[in-house]
Amino acid sequence: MSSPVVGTSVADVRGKERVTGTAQYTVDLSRPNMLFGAIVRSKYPNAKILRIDTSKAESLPGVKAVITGKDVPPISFPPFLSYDLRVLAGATDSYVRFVGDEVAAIAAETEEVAETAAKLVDIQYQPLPFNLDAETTMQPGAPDVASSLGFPRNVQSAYSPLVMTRGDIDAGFAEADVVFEGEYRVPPQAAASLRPFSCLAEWDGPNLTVYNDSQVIFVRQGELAYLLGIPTANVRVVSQYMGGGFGEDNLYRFIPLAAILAQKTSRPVKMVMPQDYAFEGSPNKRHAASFIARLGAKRDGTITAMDLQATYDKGAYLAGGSSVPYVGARAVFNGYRVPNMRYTTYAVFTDNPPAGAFRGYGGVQSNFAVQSAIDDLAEQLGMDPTEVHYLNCIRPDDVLEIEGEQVDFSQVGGSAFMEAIEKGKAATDWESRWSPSGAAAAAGHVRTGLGMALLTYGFGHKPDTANVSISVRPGGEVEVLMGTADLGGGQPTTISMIVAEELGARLEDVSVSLGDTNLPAAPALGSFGSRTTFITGNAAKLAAADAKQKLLAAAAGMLGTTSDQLGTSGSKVLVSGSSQSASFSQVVQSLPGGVSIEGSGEYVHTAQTSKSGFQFGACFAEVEVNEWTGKTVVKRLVMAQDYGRVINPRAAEGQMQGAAMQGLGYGILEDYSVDETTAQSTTRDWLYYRVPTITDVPEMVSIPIESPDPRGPFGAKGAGESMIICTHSAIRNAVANAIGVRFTSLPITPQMVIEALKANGGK
Amino acid sequence: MCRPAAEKRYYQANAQNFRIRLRVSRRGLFKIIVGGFAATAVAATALLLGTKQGRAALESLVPAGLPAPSKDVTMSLNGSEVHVTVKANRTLLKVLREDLSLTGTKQGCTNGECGSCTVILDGLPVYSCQRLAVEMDGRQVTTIEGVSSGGSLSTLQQAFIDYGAFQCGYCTPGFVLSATALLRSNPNPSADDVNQGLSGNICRCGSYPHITNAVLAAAKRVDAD
Repeated sequence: MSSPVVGTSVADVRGKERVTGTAQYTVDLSRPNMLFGAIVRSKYPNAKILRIDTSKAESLPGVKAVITGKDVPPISFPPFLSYDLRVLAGATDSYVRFVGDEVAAIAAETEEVAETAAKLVDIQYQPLPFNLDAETTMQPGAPDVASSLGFPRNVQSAYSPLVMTRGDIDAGFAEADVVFEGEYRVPPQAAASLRPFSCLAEWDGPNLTVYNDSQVIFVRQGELAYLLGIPTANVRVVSQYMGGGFGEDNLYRFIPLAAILAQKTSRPVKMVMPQDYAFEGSPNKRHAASFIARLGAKRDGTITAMDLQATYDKGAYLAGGSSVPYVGARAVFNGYRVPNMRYTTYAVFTDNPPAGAFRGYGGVQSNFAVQSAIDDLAEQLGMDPTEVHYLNCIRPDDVLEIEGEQVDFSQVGGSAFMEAIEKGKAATDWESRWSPSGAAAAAGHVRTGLGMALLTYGFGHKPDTANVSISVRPGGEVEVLMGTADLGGGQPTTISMIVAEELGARLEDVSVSLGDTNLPAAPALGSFGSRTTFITGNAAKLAAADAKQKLLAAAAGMLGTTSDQLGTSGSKVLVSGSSQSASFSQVVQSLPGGVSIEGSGEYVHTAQTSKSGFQFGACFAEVEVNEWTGKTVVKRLVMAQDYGRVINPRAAEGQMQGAAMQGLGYGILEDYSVDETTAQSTTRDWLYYRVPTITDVPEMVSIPIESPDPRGPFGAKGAGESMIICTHSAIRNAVANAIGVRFTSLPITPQMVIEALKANGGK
Repeated sequence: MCRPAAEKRYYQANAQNFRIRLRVSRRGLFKIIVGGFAATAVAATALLLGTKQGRAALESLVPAGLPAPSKDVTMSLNGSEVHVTVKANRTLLKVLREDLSLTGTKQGCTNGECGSCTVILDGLPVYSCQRLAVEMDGRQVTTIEGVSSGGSLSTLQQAFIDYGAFQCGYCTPGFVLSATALLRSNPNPSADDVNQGLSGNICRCGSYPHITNAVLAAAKRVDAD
């Protein structure tokens, strides 16, 4: 038998296209005769549109179409991603609700003409009072944001409050020796992907094709069909390569706008959003959130009660990510065996741009509150925080109530927390280096601190289905068809490996077609929420097993034996106990008139499995804080993560490191700022919104933990998000350890450090 | 000369877009100095355009309503001589991607901040969004299309694949070019050298540790070759 594929580091199957630049992202596409689109956006956070005059723009030579709210369907996007957004502000009323709200769209012969025309659209607004503060938006007298959208009092009623409980919270506090209370806040985070948001829409008779860097091609297909009032079958969405891919493509108006403009002009329309759209106008920044945390504990560190109140800022529309607050709650409940827990969430509307999906959706925020609070509680108890976590984290054989259901963790791959804590402590030499006042051996103005945080997160949230089909061709090639996008997480490679392993094919014989709604949907909802390996991987494994069975049946006749005497390896069918074999190619060619052998697999991700995918891990951070300059440098991150079973170790490590870098950015660098008087963003590019560069990279130690999930393909779990859930929290706790300042908001900038040290009169 | 009012309006409305924004990013300053934002007339114009006075001065020289003038440029592009007629306001990035269909040079921030559009100009890595195409006359430009000759990957490109030095891949051509230029000037870099040399390229996926490993490995392989 040949050596196994699963568990070995395999190079990206589409790597050559990436390193040679031949990978074509949407912005690289062009069509003869195409027009260029541009969008006019509101400069006001809340205003009534009094009048729009498009005549100057329309008369500019080269302008082919100008549309406003009256030219688009008077309906909102369908539920799931975009909800209450209309294709343009003004489609059903005359209000703009955030800076960047789209008001008009243009198609012109060149990009320059389109942009010039956008400046010539004359809009008169009546500016209205606005509110950017989620904590006051529900108070009487606060400016009304969302009542006209069906959300009176500026709250999303389904999640306001959303209450999740376990046990009896009052009894839990009654038996506590110590009660800790703290308030925590996290800012928005921009995906800040480098590729410009773009799409290309073209019509062929009644059929629309849209190219777009998208993680959610099938949802987008349904969305466009609904908005344009045409059958889903008439819409094709293609996403061959995706730049970025951290959730930020979930809702965009420019896509239906390009389709409408293309229809109106009978020409292909390409839309490339300006770069500040990645910051200011784009929906789908991470929700800003604030928390009140109360913990009750025994003197020995046993937490008897955990009570959290959360407020998530949705921005001006429900838009993408309606369930962010819910996921935030789950990302706490899935972590601790505390008998009495309560999590109360409010999701509220403000005049900020709509928030939405960003890697770690909901959980990054609540993790900060809980991991900071437990660290702060440990200090109050005079304990090592790792001991408090170790005492209270979910254990491998725990049976716990989560959302009213008993979850037996031994049935879902256990819990890797204790192992992650043990290994993380060993790798940081925690026992000998950590002290309550930092890890520096000698006093000095550069203080060293150690901190840690646990992470728990779901994967494959929401029920879903995946269909994968496989063809074994007469030449022995194995073709895999799956309609998911390649968003850079190594999904095509992972799926190829699963197919090669199950089918007994050589990896080099396997090729994947993807990123097109003409292919079978896998997964139907799209590639987000750490779901592709688990959901599509299961379907691919079933499809490979189906193809294998047919191959063996065909080979049995050819080799004069029975299927049960046959196995596969290295793209050959082998006879048990014999040197006889036939290549896949020979087997397929032996079939009468056979073109190829087909296998198909469908995996149904049920409500049950979608609620019980658990990622576990821990991040240990070592930081140096310069008390003179205020600068925090992350020196080392030790990351222990449970993958269930690692399919492709190097790709998994890349996901872990990349997620940690985004977490590091959120912790100390990425400072999204808005001018409170104008509501305009002051961080509209990569110069002011500082994402990590290669010089910010700490030493990184990756510790993969394998506790296979019996339901995953070869035991694999979803793994694309986890380390982003807790890296910022670990860094915050390490800073607290270094300088004794327990920050309650992010990012921890040099200015914050200096001011806090001044206020404290030094350490 | 009588110009239609619309065209005049077009030029006036667009005047601010013609301004080349000279913003000094992390290693931008280094690049501007080392790359020699050579004091060609064009670069000087670009600098002038950065100020109100500069724009006024330029507008006094150019008859009102004239669109940007064009110029014939001959450059060595990936080893071949290429002639293009370019408008004075077009960046090298736009000309490469739109006029020459070389979309391997990726369009990122278009503001000199992210490095996605890096090309090698006379041996040095530069942001092609910060260079005007008219500056390229008589100069040598290498894009990602010129790195892998005849379909075979360079040692560095192969190392990027072997070490998993990318995720979505959008920044990868820029990184490959910055690293190619780095290895030419410093064939045996330390990890710190690599990181300093690549500090002007952003990878939002955070593949940095694998990128550093890939460049170091490529340096060793080149040594062994």
